[in-house]
Amino acid sequence: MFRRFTVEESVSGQSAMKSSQQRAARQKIVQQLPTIEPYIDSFFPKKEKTISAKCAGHVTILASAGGVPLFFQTRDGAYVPTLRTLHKYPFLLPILRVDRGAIKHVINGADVMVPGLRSSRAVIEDEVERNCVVAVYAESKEHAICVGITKMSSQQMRLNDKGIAVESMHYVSDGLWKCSELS
Amino acid sequence: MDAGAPPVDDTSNAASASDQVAAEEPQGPQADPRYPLKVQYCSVCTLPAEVHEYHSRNQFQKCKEWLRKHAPEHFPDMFPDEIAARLEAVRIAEESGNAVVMPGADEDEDEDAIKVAVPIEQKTSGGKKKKAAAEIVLMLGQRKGKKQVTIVYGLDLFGIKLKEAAKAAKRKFATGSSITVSADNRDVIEIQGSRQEDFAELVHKEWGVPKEAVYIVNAQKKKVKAFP
Repeated sequence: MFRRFTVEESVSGQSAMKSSQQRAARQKIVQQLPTIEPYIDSFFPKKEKTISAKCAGHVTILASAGGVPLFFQTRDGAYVPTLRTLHKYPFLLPILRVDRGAIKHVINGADVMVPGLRSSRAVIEDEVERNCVVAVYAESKEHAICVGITKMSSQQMRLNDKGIAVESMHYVSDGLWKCSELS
Repeated sequence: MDAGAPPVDDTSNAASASDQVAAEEPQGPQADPRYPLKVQYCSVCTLPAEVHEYHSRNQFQKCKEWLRKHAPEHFPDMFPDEIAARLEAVRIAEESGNAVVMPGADEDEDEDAIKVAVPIEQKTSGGKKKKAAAEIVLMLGQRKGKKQVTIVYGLDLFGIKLKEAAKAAKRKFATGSSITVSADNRDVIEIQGSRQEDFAELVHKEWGVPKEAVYIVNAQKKKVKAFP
């Protein structure tokens, strides 16, 4: 989704959010990611205006007042934390842990395939449904390497032996990762 | 707990324990002062140290120095000396009864945080005087008949705003001057008339661009220094 993302080309416009929009977004995020609640004020400080950037492909990026991307959203869908956010607060999303062999593909933007999650060294740490936003971690690594959306439930991941398990949305070293600030 | 000096064989544990500080378990809804975690990113490729082993060999070479300095623990085979130095420092600190201070790692952390905050674009395009490749080239172009324009490449590489540069040229030379896109898709400014030497002077005086970074393309289509 963000493979070729650059601020100059992909962002069509950015503006400070109205406080009512900001309230709505804040509420929605807390609802979707309940574990964020104690920290939400650091994402949405009362005094400062969050920036919303419209990007190609109906993607909206929410960024802090300083322009650091915090969340993104496709159309009116779920708010997804960026990997930099996730590294700071690693408990926001359900976790799937892939085995070593999958790492190099995932950090190059590939979708996570079922075999990468079925091996004995991979762990499905949280049970998830289909179309769920998840964080992909890697065996013996500490930080998330990808954020994606599940294409099957965790039950099915255990039953199937091929196919796409998680569709990659945002991975380390993609365009959004490289853009540490919108400007 | 015994307040005395801890047993010597604890040193290795102490080192690995402080390595694991960031590897904490997810927490429940109470605000936990440990968050946000501070993750160390490579200042060369922006990725966390632990995924460096998946770099191409080329890229890895570029990041190697950073790794040596900031995260040798991820590549113990490659940097045995650094690891030993760290353990040694921990041991000394504990023997003298001070709090354990990781050499290098902690001291450099602040400096590192600042580096990461700077977007990569700025680094690659090289700020003032930083990169040898950043240069300003003044060329002559033809307009209808024998009318000439001066085309200036590379102002953006020095962080000079093109709009302001164009305006300054207008003021100085009392001619037309505007921002255009060159044939190879770079943003350039175009000044009416032959103003190569004059503009070179202006660039140097007004924005402090070093003399050796300014070039003129002469009538023989050769690139020569503006200030020989």
